[in-house]
Amino acid sequence: MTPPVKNDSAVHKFTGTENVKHFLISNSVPIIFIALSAIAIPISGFSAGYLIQEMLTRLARNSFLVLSLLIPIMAGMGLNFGMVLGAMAGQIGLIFVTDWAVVGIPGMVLAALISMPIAAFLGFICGSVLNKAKGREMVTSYILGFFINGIYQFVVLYTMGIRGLHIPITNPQLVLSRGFGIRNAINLTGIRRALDNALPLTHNFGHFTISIPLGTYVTIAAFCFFIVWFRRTKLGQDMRAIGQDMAVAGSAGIAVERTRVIAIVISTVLAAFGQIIFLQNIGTMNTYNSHEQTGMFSIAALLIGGATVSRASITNVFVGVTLFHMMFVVSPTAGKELIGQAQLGEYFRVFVSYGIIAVALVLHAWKRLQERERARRGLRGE
Amino acid sequence: MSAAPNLGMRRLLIRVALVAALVAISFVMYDIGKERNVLLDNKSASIDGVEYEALVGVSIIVDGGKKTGVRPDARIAHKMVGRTHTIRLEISEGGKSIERTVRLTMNMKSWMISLPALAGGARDIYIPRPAAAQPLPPPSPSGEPETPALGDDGPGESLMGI
Repeated sequence: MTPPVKNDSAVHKFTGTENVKHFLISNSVPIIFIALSAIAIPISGFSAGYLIQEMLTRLARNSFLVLSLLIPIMAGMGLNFGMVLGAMAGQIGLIFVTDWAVVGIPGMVLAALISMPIAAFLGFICGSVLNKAKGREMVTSYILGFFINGIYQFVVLYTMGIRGLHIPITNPQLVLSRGFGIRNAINLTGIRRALDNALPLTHNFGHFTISIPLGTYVTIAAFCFFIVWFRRTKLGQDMRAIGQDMAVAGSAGIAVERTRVIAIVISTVLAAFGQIIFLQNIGTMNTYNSHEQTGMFSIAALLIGGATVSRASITNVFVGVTLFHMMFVVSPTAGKELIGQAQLGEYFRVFVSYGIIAVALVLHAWKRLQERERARRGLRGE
Repeated sequence: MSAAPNLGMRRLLIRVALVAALVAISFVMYDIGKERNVLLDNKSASIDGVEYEALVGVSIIVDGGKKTGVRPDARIAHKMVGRTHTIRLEISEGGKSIERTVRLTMNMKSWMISLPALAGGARDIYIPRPAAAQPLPPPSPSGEPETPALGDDGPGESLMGI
C-alpha cells in the first residue's frame, strides 16, 4: 500500500538536487568566470600580491560607475546603456577644471558640480525618449548614446577653443593648434589620484606591499549606503513597484513616466560622478573615446557579477567588477602564454571583454527560460 | 484653496536655494582649488620709489614645503594652490628669517613676487610679470585649416569604426 500523498499545498517542494541545480543555473555567469579565472591565473604567472593590488585599484576605479546602473534596473528599465551620456557630462566638467587649473579634491568637486546640470539635462532627454520606447529601453538607450555622442563631438571639437564664437578654453595645451577643438588626449595632472590619495593606506605583507585608495572606497561605501537608503524611500518603493509591473503601479496612482525619468536622471548624474572618479584614477582622458567604453564595460561587469536585466544588487557589482577585471588582467598574458604571440593575447582580451556581454545575455535568456519552466513545474506540482 | 500656490512657491524657493548653494559651492571650490603659477623674483626692484637690492644667500620655504635656494638676479616658478600662502625667507647673511603671508586675489591675472621687496617689508610686493607667451597666430588667409600633428587631431579612425 502506497503512503498517502500530502496534499495540503499545491506547490511542489524542490529536492536538494533541484535546489543545487537551480543555484548553479542562477549563478552560472559568475561560476563560468570564476572557472575561467581559475584556469587563466596560473597560466598568466602573476603573483598574488600583484593581482590583489590590481583588483583593489580597479575596484576603486570602476565600482562607482557600475553602481550607477542599479537604479534604472530597480525601475524595470534594464541596463542603462545611456550612462555614456553621464560619462560625457563628467568629461565636460573635467575639461573645464583642467582649463581653469583647479586641482585636487576641489577640482574634482567642481568638475562634478559642472557636470551635474549637464548630466541631469541629458538624463531628462534620455528618460523622456525611453518613455516612448517602453519595453525596448536597452537598445533605445544604446542608440541614444551614439546620437548624443555626435552632439558631444560637435560641442567639444568645434565650439570649444580660443578663437571665434566658442565656449572659451584658454589653455593652449588643451586646444588643437588650429585654435578650436579639444585635443584627443588630456593630461589630468591636477586631479590625478586626488581622491585615491586623499586617505592613503599602505600595508606591508612581507612579500608584497598593498596600497589601498581609501578615499575612493569611502566614497563608494557612501554611495552604497545611499542606494540602500534610497530603496526604502517613497521614490525607491515607487521604482520597485514600477519595475515589478508598470500597469499595476500606474493603477495604484504612481506617476510611472515621471518616476522612470527620475531613475534615469539619477543614474546619469551618478555616471557623470563615476566617470570623474574613473578618470582621476587613470590620470589621462581620451576626449573622444573614454566615454564609449564606459557603458559597455560597466554593463559587462555587472552581468558577470550575476545580475540580470531585471535584478541587480550591490553584491553583483563588486563580484562582477572583480571577476571582469581579473579576466582583463590575466587574459592577455594567459593568451600570450597559450598562443605565444603578444598581439594574439591582445585580441584575446578584446574577444573576452566583448564576448562576455554576449555570453551573459545569452545565459540570461536561457536562465529566464529555465526559471519559467521551473515555476511552471512548481505550480503543476511535478 | 491657497495651499497649492503656496506649495508651488515653496518648492520653487527650495529649488532656487539649491541652485544658489551649488553655484556658491562651485565658487568656493574654484577659489580653494585654483592653482597659480607664481614667479618668485630675486632681482633688484624699485617699488614706490624705494630701491630693494637682490638678496644674497636666500632660501625660500612656501607653505612649510621644501626649502629652495634662489640666487641673486634669478627667479623661480612656484605652483601655489589656493589664495593665501606663507612665504618664509631665510637669509644666510646674519641668520635672518622673514615670514610673510601673501594673498593672491582673483582679479590679478598674473603673479610675480619680489623677494627683495618682501624682505624689505614693502607693502606692495607684486611686480609686473614678464610678457606672457605669444598669442596664437591669426588663421591662414586662405581659409584652409592647418593640418594638426599626428595624434593631435581630435577623433581619429578609431572613433568612426564603432
